[in-house]
Formats: sequence, C-alpha cells, structure tokens
Amino acid sequence: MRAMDGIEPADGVADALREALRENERLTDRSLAAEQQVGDLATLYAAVNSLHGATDPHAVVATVCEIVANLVGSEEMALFESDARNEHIKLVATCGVAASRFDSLEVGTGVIGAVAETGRPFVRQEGGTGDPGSDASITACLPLRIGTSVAGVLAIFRLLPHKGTLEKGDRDLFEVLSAHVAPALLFSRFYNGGQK
Amino acid sequence: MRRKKILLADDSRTALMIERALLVGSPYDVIVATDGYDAVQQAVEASPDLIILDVVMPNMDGFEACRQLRRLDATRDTPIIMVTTRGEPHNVESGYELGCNDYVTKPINGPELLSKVRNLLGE
Repeated sequence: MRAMDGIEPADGVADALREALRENERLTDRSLAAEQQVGDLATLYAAVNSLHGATDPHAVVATVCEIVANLVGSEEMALFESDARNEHIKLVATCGVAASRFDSLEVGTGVIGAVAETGRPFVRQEGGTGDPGSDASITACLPLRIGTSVAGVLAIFRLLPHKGTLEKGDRDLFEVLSAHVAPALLFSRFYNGGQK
Repeated sequence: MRRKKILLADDSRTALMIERALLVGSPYDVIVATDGYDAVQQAVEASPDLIILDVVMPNMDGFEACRQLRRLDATRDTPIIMVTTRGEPHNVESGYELGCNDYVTKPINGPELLSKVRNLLGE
C-alpha cells in the first residue's frame, strides 16, 4: 500500500482498504455483467415484440430486415419459404442481396438447401466473406420453424465491418428468429385474410 | 431530485424498443421521435437532458437534425449521441463536425450505451 502524505496506514486499516477495493472491483464486474444481460434480454424482447406486432406479411418481412440490421449487424439477408412437403424452397424477400442469386435454389443443395432439408442451423462464428449471396458469405442460415416442421429458411450474409464476430447474445437471438419468424408470417396472412 | 429526460430519435421500431428497454430500467424519463424533423421539434418543446439520434431517418436525417439542434439556443448545449449502423470513420467524423458529443454503432451494446449516457449526464 502506498504511503499517503508520508503516513503509513496501520496494518488493520491497510487490510480493510485492500478488501474494500477488491469488493468494489467484484461489484463493478457484477454490475457490468448484469448490464450485459439486461442488454441481451432487451434485444430478445425487442425482436419478439416487433415480429408479433407486425400484422401484414410485408411488415413482418420489413421487421425481419430491421432485426437483422439493428440487432444482428448485417444488411444482407434473404428469407425463403418451403412448401408443405418441404420439397421446394421459394424466395420471399431479400435485403441488400440480388434476388437473382437464388433463382435455382433446391432443397438439399448448398447451405440454404441443406438447412431447409435438415432443419439444422448453420452458423459461422467469424461471419461470412466473399460475394454477397454466395455460400461463403453466409454468417447464419436458420431454419424457420412452426412447431417441429421447417417452414422456411432465413439466410444472413456478411456482417457489418465493425461488428467483428458473433457473440453469445447473437445465438440466443437466432433461436428467437428460428422460432418466431414463421409463426409471425403465418399469423399475419391469416389476420389479413380474415380482415378481407 | 429531478429525473433526467432523454430523447430517442430513430425510425426503427425495433431499435427504439431496445433503446427504451435499456434506458427505462435506469432513472430516466424517455421520450421518442421517429424522424429528424420530429426530433428537433420535440427537443425544443421538451428540453431533454440528452438526445440519442439515429443517422438514417426519413424526412430529415440525423446529421441534419444534429446541425439544426446546434443552431438553436434551446438545444445548443444539449449532449447528443449519434447512432450509426456503419462505424466508418467518415460517418463518425461527420457527426463530430456537426456537433455530436459521442456516437455508438448498431447493433447497440447495452453497457456501452449506458456508460456513454451516464458520462454525458455527468453521473
């Protein structure tokens, strides 16, 4: 312990001060961890709330784009739907990627086709690189589920340069997207059909 | 003690929701604007203690809103945090040249935003 104004604190005081500083450090770490947790939960809350607040299919797609840009950190995504037998996959919308890239997409072929077939997510921790829309540029490819069935696929391509890599919170968000995008889209169609 | 007031300006419902969720847990009152024009008007009317301003907004973008806020007596000294989707240096420099005090990039990192807010509010 550094002497203050030439006065050396008594042993007991110095020990108590050291302990207080350690306790302060522990509390600061815990506070930061709690804030991070609040941030992650706020992200999930915002994603679910926005998705289910959209009442027409276009708004759901726009919300997915918004979530991918604002919460994941990518401005390139494509949304696909599978048919009832999961034999064909159809492009619903793209953001920041040319739709023509997906003209000849087949279930079982390439990363997107494989995710549509198996229902297993594909995640590249360090983010995709290369031509936008190519398999190499895919950061995450998520099955969109309704219950246990795969109803579609969400492909997220290159991350924004400042984003760096994926974090734990991103994986939680991917699970939310996997579980909530397809039901939100389905609900919006029913709702709009009912309105008409 | 008076609760401090923060104005959030963003056209993205999702971004507003997350920013609100982060800030309402803290001792702040939050008001919201959904474009740059609305942000300037609300800033003049409500005199917030701090403004969090997204760059990309309809009608008037965040840069122009920042420029106008710095010209008005009522908001000349109000701290402004710009929110950019891209963290490229030219975007950040433009924000500082127009008078913003700090910036954060999307996706928003909760602890980073809160730390900058507290810092600018002198807490």
